[in-house]
Amino acid sequence: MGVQYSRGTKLFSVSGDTPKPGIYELELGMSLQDFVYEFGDGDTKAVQVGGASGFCVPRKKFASTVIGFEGVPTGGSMKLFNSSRSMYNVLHNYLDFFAEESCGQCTPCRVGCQQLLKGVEKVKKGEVKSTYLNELLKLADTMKVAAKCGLGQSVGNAFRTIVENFREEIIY
Amino acid sequence: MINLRINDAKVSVQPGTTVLEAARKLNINIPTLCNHPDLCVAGNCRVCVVEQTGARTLIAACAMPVSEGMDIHTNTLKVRNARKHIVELLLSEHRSDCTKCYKNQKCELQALANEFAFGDTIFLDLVEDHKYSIDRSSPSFTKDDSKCIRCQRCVRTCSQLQHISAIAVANKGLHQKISSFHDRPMSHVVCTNCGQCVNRCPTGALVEKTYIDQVWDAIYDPDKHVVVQTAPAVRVALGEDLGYDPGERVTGKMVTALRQLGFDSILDTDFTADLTIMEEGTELLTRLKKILVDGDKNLALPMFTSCSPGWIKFIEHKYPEFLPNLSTCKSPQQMFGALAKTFYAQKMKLDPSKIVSVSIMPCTAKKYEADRPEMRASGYKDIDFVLTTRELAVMIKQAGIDFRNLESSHYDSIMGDSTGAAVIFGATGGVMEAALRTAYEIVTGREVPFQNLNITPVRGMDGVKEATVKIEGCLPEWKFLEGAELKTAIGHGLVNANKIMRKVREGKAPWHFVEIMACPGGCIGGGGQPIPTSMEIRKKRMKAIYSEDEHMVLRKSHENPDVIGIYKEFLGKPNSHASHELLHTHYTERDNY
Repeated sequence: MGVQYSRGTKLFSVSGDTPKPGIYELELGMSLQDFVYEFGDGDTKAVQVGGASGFCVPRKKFASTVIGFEGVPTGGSMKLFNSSRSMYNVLHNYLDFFAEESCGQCTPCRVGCQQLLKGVEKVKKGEVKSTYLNELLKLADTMKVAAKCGLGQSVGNAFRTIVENFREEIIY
Repeated sequence: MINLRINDAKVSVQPGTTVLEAARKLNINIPTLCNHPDLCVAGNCRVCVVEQTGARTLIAACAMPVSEGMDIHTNTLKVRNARKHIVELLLSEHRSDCTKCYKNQKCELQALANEFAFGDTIFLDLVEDHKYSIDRSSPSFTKDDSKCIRCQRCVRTCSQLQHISAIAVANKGLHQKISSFHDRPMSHVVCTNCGQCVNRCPTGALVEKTYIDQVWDAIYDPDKHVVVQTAPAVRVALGEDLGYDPGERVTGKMVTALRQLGFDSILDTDFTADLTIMEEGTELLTRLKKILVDGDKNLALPMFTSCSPGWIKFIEHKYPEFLPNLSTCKSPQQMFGALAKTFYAQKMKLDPSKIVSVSIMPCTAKKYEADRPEMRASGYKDIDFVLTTRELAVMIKQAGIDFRNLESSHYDSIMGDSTGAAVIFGATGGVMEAALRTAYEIVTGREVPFQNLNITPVRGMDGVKEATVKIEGCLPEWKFLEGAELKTAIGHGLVNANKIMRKVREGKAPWHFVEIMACPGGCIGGGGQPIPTSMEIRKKRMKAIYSEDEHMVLRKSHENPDVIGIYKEFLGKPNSHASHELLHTHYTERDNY
């Protein structure tokens, strides 16, 4: 079972806008499209694969995305969002979480998380230009290579994938 | 040996060397911030990130040990971008009121900003999101969290060098801050005011409390007679803040500068250091006699020195049961203060209420000591203002004095004479050496049996030093000491004080006399000394102190003519009633929390 680099099955925690949330054992290597057919509510806009430090996959990429090291790796968290959700709120929630949960030791993570959070808030309110998001994307890159541990290094995953795929939702 | 390449240059280093150290061997400069040579690696500021070929992320040069075949690049675009971002991030959580800041142009963050983050600010200001207050409760230093960049140098200093942990990291993430026990004001926690944290803070978050303006006011007040005393360790370090290399002695120029600043009388703490030796040496010998001959059970051994106010506060908090072991002698600074407004005032026919007594100290704890309620033996506040070495350098700059081209001059008379024994008070082991030079001679009538009076076993940078002096050929009145071995110990840095005190508490301490200084290296490494201070710099200052000693004509405290004079005219003899009134003090038990 599974595929070349992602063998066997894995336990998944399925949550969010799904009619049947719960813990499921699924085969690795399945496409996100198949996953959404199985667990979606017919209106799935995006799936956050791998939790707050994972990647956000938008509807248009479901078919081309494989769950596993060939596509998006995950610890098992799968969150589904339907079109009633604001991806700004999703991102804000994640950044709020990271700003709080960063241990605070290293600069890129401690200050970087606060900057990302405050930055998207200001963009949303129109207090800074929407192009400020580009600066924040560069900051996310720095955090990825310069933070001391995996937490700070992976904050940029959700940030980049949400901002790149749902930019208009962050700005307007 | 491990072979690696940095910026395409080959280098071989010992296993365990960090990438930063290896780069320095090649004269490649990697910027650092949280790194400090006195402290353990933290690797948390990330300013020193470099690129390692094949690695997924950048690595922190200060924390990464070298490995065979490593290929490091310190100046790639990726590194530069990350470094710029990191410095910008630090600036965004730092209140940058640079032009008004006491640390302006001496701030390590400012220097980095100058290199990496000039021009438009990238990130949003985070300072406004936090409620910061400035803790001015300590008489020695202020703590301004809005300037703190969480490098944790202060925290590491307090725990590793001083074993106090008065300040520690509290909370996480955006709430992280450097805090005290229960977030209490610094005046109400176990803090010795040693200022080692102040000496290591890269920004203006921890700075000494300055009294420069008050001193200027006193100088310009025609009604006031302003006397100034300078501690032994100041003369070998002041130059560093005025463009000299570490280890340059600037005693004569410093005296001239003080005169040009407008002080009415330039006197020397060394004078009271010599006096301390007379008082403390006599106290030790009397204590030994009372215990060994008279069988007095109320007196305790070992006797501890009491010159270091940081150490005094430490023992008051941590080992109050041993307060009876402390010498009752005041520190030289406070002896000087008490005499300035009594003996000196009489001699100069001055009204003591018109005397302002200023001391220049390598120390921030001295500011606290001067504020102690018991330090008013003269009927006035014995010492009005304490300035650190750094503050004196600021005053010299403010006055526009061309320090380098000053002529040397001598201290004023009455309380300005000193000996080599007093000068070495500034280095760890110095008080012990000075005391032995005098005590041995009192007991035997002969000089200490060491070449050139240099008692080398008590010198050096070892954390805890021990020395034994065998006493032979005693004068008749000291016959009870014949053949005795005087066992001594010396500790510097409160981490070593703690080691010594544990031994004493366990009853395993064989010593009769113990010298403890709160700061690493003694006063030469004090919290008020020029920044930076490191082991290398402390060693240079120490060398300068001992060379100052060797250049003195008089090198034993009891030969100081001013000291002989003051006993003849004013105090009578060591440990007399008069000297107990003015030169001795008592201690207070304090909470250990």
